[in-house]
Amino acid sequence: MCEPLHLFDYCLINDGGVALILAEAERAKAICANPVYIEGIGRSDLNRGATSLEPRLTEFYLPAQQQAAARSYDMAGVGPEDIDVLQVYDSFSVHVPLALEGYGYCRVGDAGRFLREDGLGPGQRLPTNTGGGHLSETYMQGWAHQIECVRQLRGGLGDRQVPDCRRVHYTSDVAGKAVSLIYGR
Amino acid sequence: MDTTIVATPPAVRGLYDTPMWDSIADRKMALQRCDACSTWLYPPAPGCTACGSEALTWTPISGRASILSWVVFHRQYLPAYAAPYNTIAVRLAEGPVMISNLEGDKPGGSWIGHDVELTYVDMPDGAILPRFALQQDQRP
Repeated sequence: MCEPLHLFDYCLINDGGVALILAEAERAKAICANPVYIEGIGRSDLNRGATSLEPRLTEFYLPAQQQAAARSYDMAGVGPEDIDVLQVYDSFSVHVPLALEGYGYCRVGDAGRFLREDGLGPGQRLPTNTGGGHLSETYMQGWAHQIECVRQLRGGLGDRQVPDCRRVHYTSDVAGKAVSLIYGR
Repeated sequence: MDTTIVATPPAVRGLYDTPMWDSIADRKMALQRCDACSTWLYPPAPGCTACGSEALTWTPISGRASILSWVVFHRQYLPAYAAPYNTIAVRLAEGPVMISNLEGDKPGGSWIGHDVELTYVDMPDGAILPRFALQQDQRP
């Protein structure tokens, strides 16, 4: 554990397993009563200078996040204003505010205000990591986030269900690779 | 009283690293500089990471740098490095990013952006490590 982070800024460490069944959309409708759809994907690699820990130390992949976001939003035909739930790969707490800026939920440098005024909790502007994420549920290296994307879209989650959830956005930014997935139903 | 001298972990000498470690031992740290485009390389490499040229010249660095990021470890992992100890990433004036430690006085609050200068630290077993200290006018 490293200052200036604290215990609860770190993800959990655990073993586990996750299974997803992926199929082409028409086939998914035939084999599953309530499929959800991947409407957009985007990926951008930013590995120049990676051996010297750049660019994560200087701009935390911001250009890669922005490019991955644009590609996935374009493919899905949506924007951040259309997203009901955000699922961020939160190996550390700092990934969350930087995702808000990098994937277009607020202006760069404005995440603090977004957290204070708009909010990431149930009933607030952007319910985020509703399953608990890596910080509080399980460190399945993003796979459990996919499960929560599917569950929010299928509904019936009780207290943590986001009402009328239609689109969920998964993001990750790890080791130079930014990934953006838009799930819908 | 235990008077055992703890060994400093040995330098990792890859194919291109030996001239750098030799220059550190001489307290005149040098890095490769590209003859074609003037880019400075770190870590040492067979060719320029910017233009691909293999014409490189070992050249002393200025020793000036600024802190890009910092952490303080509160757990000890290696006998030679007692906790708490810090690790910093600095941007050398020549351009490359280097990982090291901050010696001496520490800034209050965030360390990011403080100017530092290269210093050579003598470890108890005789090893010499390149570390950094706050520039005189940056000390609290």
